[in-house]
Amino acid sequence: MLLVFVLQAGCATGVPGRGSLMGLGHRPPTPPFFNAAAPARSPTASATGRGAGVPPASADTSAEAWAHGPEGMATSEEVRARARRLEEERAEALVWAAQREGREPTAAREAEAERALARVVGLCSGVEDVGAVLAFTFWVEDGALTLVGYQEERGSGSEGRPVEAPELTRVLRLVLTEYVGGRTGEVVLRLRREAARWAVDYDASRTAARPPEARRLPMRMPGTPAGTFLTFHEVAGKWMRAVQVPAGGASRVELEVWLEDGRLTGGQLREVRRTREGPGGSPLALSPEVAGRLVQVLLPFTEGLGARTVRVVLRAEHQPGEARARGRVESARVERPPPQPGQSWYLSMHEATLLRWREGVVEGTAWLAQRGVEELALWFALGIIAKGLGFFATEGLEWVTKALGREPEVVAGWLRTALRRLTPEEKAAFERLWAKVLLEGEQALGHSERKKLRGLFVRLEQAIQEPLDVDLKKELRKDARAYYAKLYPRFAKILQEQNKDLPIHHRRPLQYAHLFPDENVNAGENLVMLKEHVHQRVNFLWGRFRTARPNPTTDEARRAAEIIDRHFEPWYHRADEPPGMLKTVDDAREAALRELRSRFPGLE
Amino acid sequence: MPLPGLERLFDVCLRLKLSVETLPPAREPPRAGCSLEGLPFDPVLADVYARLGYAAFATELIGAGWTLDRSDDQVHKLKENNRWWRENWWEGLGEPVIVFGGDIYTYATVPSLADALGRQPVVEVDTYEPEAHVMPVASNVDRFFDSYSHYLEALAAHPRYQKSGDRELLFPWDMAEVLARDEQLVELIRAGRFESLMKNMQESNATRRWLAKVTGR
Repeated sequence: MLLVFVLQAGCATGVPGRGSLMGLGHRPPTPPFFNAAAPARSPTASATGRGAGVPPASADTSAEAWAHGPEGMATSEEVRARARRLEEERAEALVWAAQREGREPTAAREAEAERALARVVGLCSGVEDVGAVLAFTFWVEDGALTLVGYQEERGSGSEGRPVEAPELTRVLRLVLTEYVGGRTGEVVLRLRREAARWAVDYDASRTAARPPEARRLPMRMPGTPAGTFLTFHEVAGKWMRAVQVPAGGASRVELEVWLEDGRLTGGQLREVRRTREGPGGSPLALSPEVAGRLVQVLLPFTEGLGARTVRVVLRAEHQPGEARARGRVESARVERPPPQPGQSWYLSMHEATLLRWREGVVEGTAWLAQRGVEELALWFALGIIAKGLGFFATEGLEWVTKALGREPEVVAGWLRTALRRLTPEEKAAFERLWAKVLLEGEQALGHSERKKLRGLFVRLEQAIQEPLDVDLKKELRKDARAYYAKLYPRFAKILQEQNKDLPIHHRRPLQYAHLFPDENVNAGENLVMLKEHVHQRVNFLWGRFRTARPNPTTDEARRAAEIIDRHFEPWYHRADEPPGMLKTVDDAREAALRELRSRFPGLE
Repeated sequence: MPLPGLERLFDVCLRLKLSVETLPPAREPPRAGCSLEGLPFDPVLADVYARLGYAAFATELIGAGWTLDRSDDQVHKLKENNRWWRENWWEGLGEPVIVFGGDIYTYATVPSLADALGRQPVVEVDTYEPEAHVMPVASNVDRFFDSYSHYLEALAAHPRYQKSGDRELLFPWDMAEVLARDEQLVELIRAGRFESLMKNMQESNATRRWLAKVTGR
């Protein structure tokens, strides 16, 4: 086993890209997100970042020059970009943890190759037509083999002699483990039936975009789960029974098979077209073996990720004198829905969590339960976006629906904060049920679970419109401080040192968070660091506002925040006094107070 | 005077590999009973400052780390902060306090509630609110260090902290059971001695529930 691994590692750099077992080729470029071909990294190491166009959030930790003040302060767009980068780092950390904890990557790569091998050999076993070619297109990444296409070409029609399976297995194992498994990119494995053997070659020289359903983590599961196998058999049988072939004629059959992760979510017989009329007579049904062959072709596709369609073309033909029509799968290829924002984040996190589920190395629910909302919010948020908001079309949801309709990182931040408002029991139920939806599909929820999950969204809708109690405010302040330190790493050290003397202020205060229910009160844009004496003056103004408007409207709270921001902005994001200021912080307080008085009659 | 709570806090930080920073004390640290903004300086705090000019515990845990205000021959943060508090917060609080450190919030002793040995109870003051929110946390400064050390232990033992560094627990909010062991504190709360300081917390259901947990009522 060790020898196989060494060979695999060796072929990552020195193996030809194309040939009949040997040849020359090149290594396709690695995708921009998660360089999974690289050795396992720590989250810290990964923070050196490849965020498209976004500087890594940790890159400025050593910038002493910005230790105390906001010269060159990030714009709101930059703050948003940093927030995105932070979410990406969280996703990377989760994937990294999933990749390492309780797993043996070598064993997983070997299992991956053995599974692919068994499936390829299985499909070859029924083919005796000399000259027939079976082509399997895989996306290969760090030993994970995701089938993205299958094609079968007819041969001469002459029947070959039986082929010894062990010999084919030996050659294929060599190709899959030594030449293909260590690559990253698209690899086409082509097998041509000769009179007494299969000729195997592969082509890794084609450049292709990374398909979204491709996995980055090899799996150690032995084969297809029995439940999946039975479901496919039942459905394929039903589809094939619906096909009628003209006596002595031929038909082209086109199918759509809808998958989500490893689940069959549906499909349809799109077209049955006669391609050759026969001499006449009653049309004939397909031989039952055709359904079995179809299942054999489809099962490897279940190892991909996310929602996708496999489009299958079958050729059916009736030979005069035979009781049933014959059929073969001519092609099967994956069709993808249009990409959604944050899809690569989602699929990476999804793969990481799904992996535990599929392998059963660590019980999936237990693993997730240890992560918590802080880590999983992005996965939840992206899952909600991926599923569409239709699932939540529950009466009475207004703010929740609005909040969930935004960019992934905004939704994740909002969800992280909003879920704080639920009780620990409600939060645990939300995590459990939503994880079930994402891992097992919406249909896996029982009636009561579905009702409970919808009820939790309704509860969330109510909770976000209620004023925060003191305990929640404390939790959110702690979160805000930790988040601010991540958002502005150059301030992390001084925030640690100065603690209470350097508060993180909510520009729209926590007190009024319920007036902005679809907004994340802990979003980067709402947080500023300021000195305690400045905070005290700002709080003084909010105290006056509260006395004058005990129950303000959303607009009043927003306008008051704008006035205060306008006068105190020079002191924001500073651990020292702003240089060159003619006015003092007391001048700012008086000016803001005057403006608040003129805007809100009755304010003293 | 022995300070078992402070010693335990050092031990816990060492054991849990949490950061501890200290600076040597002033040549003439504030003495027990000396006047600070016209208030008698707490004897336990005086013992602390006799050993340390500054201390910071577990500050890498942003939001959970705790620092002792610096008072040595170079920096007089303790004195400066207390002047600021007299000018800006005493009136609002309705009672004078001596601030000496904090995490996100400020920690203070309450001279008017000192026991027979002159030891002053400790409160947490949340000045993020327009009207400061006060929570009682210990019957004396050393007892506070003891409870805080238990908090760090509970934090580190939490499964989510171990897995992902999440700091799910808050001090003193999630430490009601630990605070309940401080009998002198419980007696003071039961006797309503903190009521005037806690006047801005009366509407909070969460605070009522927390107090009930601490006092067992």
